[in-house]
Amino acid sequence: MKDIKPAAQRPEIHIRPARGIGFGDFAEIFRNRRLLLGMARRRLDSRFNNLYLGFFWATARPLLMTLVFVFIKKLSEAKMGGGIPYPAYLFSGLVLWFYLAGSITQTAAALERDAGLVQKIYFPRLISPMSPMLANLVDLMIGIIILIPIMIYFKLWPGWEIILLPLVLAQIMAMILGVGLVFAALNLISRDWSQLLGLMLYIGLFMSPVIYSVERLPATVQRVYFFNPAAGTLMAMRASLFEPLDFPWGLWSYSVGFSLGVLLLGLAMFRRVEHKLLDEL
Amino acid sequence: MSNKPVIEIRGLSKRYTLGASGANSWSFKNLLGRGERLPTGSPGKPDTVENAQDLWALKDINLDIYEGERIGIVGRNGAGKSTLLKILSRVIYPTEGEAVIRGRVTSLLEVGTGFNSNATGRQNIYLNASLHGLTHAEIDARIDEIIEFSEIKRFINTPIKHYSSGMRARLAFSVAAHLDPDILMLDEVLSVGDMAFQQKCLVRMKEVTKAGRTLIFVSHSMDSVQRFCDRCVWIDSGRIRASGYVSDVTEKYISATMNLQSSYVAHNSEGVHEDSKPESELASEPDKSFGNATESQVNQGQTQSAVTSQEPESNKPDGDLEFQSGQATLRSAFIIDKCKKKIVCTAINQVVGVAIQFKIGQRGIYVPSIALHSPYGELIFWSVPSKLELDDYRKNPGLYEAIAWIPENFLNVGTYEVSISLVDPSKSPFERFFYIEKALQLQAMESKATEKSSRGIFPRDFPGSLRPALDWDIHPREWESSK
Repeated sequence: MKDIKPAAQRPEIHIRPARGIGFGDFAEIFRNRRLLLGMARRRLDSRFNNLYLGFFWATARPLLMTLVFVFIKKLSEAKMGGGIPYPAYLFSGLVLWFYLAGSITQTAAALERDAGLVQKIYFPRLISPMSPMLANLVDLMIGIIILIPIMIYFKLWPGWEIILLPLVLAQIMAMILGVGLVFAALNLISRDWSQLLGLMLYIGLFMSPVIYSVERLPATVQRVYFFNPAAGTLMAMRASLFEPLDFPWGLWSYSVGFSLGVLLLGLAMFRRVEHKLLDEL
Repeated sequence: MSNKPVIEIRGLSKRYTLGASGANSWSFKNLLGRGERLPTGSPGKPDTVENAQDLWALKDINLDIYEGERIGIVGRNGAGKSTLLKILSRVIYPTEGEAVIRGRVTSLLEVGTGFNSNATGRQNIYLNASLHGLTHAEIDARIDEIIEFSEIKRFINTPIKHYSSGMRARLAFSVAAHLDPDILMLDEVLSVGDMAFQQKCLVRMKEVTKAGRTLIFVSHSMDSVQRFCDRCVWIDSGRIRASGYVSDVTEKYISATMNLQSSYVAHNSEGVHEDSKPESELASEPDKSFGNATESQVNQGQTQSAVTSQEPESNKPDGDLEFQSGQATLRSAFIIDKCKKKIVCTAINQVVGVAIQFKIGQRGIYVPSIALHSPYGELIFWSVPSKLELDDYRKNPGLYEAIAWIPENFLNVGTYEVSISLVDPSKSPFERFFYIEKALQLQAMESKATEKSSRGIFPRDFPGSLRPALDWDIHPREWESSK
């Protein structure tokens, strides 16, 4: 048995009532990064029985939806792709949207899902809502891997903007965490909020440039339309993947600003209700 | 040893608000302006005004715990002991007050938290240990030891959904036992697992605390606390009711919660009183204490229930005493420890005495006796003094005290009952001066795990009415072939 340090030399933990404003202890989260990855892994493990089928399920939904909308487009002869082949446009949008929507929903419900753990073991609480966006990253990566043959088929190549992809991804994750935390906090107070979130994400699929491009929207509509922060995000991601598209600097800056703002709001709200949540789980 | 406590608790309180109030101020109903506004809640702010639905699970707890101490926290269900442990584990926040913890804490509020049934035993070791704050490298370093300890090496690569619950518990414990925290907090979790494995865990716990680590153990079983802990804190309705050496707190706890009748005062003696609680001033000097014995409180209900009649014709109108002749009367009877202090409970490895005080009105032969009834209610034995000379029992009028000592390492765990009587066996038939069936109750508890007792190396739960320490002689022997 190892010898231990005398009490006076050990780090002190202070337990106090939860009060005031704060944004969580990120140093502590960093120290617990293994745990964060472990929790993300746990989510994946519980979703897929084995990896191969997991691969299939992760791609089935965007692929099938792509087929459906390509079919609809053929029927209606609508012009929906923004200057690049529609299947590539559509598939890339769907993969990102499903990542975004799925992760936000799961983030908002994370603490409840992990109630069994949270009630029994101390760890930085933020780890629980942070885990879904990491776990779902696997689906996103699988989606991007599937996208590669599609791009090759349509002879689409990424431009220099591909180096912005990690930044776009970071912005997406900030948005997921921020919106997810806001709704996690609201959710505790009333279940109605999770209904609202579900509705917003459902409508969002059609109110964002996922299955169509924005060029054909009238200018007046665009002014309102671009309040949706997901619009800039989706366009920025496509621009970094597909060379023919221009990077939407203005719109994306708005998305970044929104994401940072909502992230701060989410962290503050989460901290605010965290202790109540623990009492009421 | 440093003089700074490992855990300092100052004015710690926890309030729960009952019912659905409190948090609803952000609900749709309120946002839309139709909901009733709560009197105290501006959105998101915790209520500060006391209201009738508030429940203080803990109120103003102050406690210092030092290095290497093994502290037991006892209390009834809902007394707040688990709440305290949860706050110290940082699973919930206190409402008021502060606690400082120095060192790494592992708290086991549950066995096998975070186990994933689809993952193998080995994967779950990693998962569980990382939940408790161990790094991957630290787990790598002790994984073999953990697997070895769990005794389920053969199944370690099998998904734990195929494990029995006992195997899961073993796995969880093995992880817990190797976390090597500075402070270990346990909530009743030791009560799972089979006996051999439990013993193994106990040995490991002992090792852990020997190295200067601190153990906090929450239980409603005094037996376990008695076995593992040096100090004990009794929490009642959210407050510390008693704190100190285990035996002292145990005594107070048992006497307050179990309603045992550990002393008996005859009703026909002047003033007549009886109390189930022990008093510290005692029968150290038998003759003087006779006078004091009548000053405690009356508790009629208990006395009556303790006495049942066997021979109806001898029943007195009040039904209290079965035999009570004029020549000798019972004054009082109680349970004492070896220092003649009145007690309600004893560790099984301690001597315990039954003291009977009686008044003799005329010269004659008087032989006291006691009967012991097991926790299951059956009569185990009658015992009388063993002197053979009749004259030894011939007494002049006066007050007397007789003490029957029950040896250490003789009783099992449980609530024993004692009947007392005084007879003159020289007459035919015997003359009984008094006989009170099940006059006293005695709680026998497990002794400390570190002390020698008739439990030997076995963990717990001996069946049977008694658990005597017999003289065992085990030695090698030559083989003799039978002719």
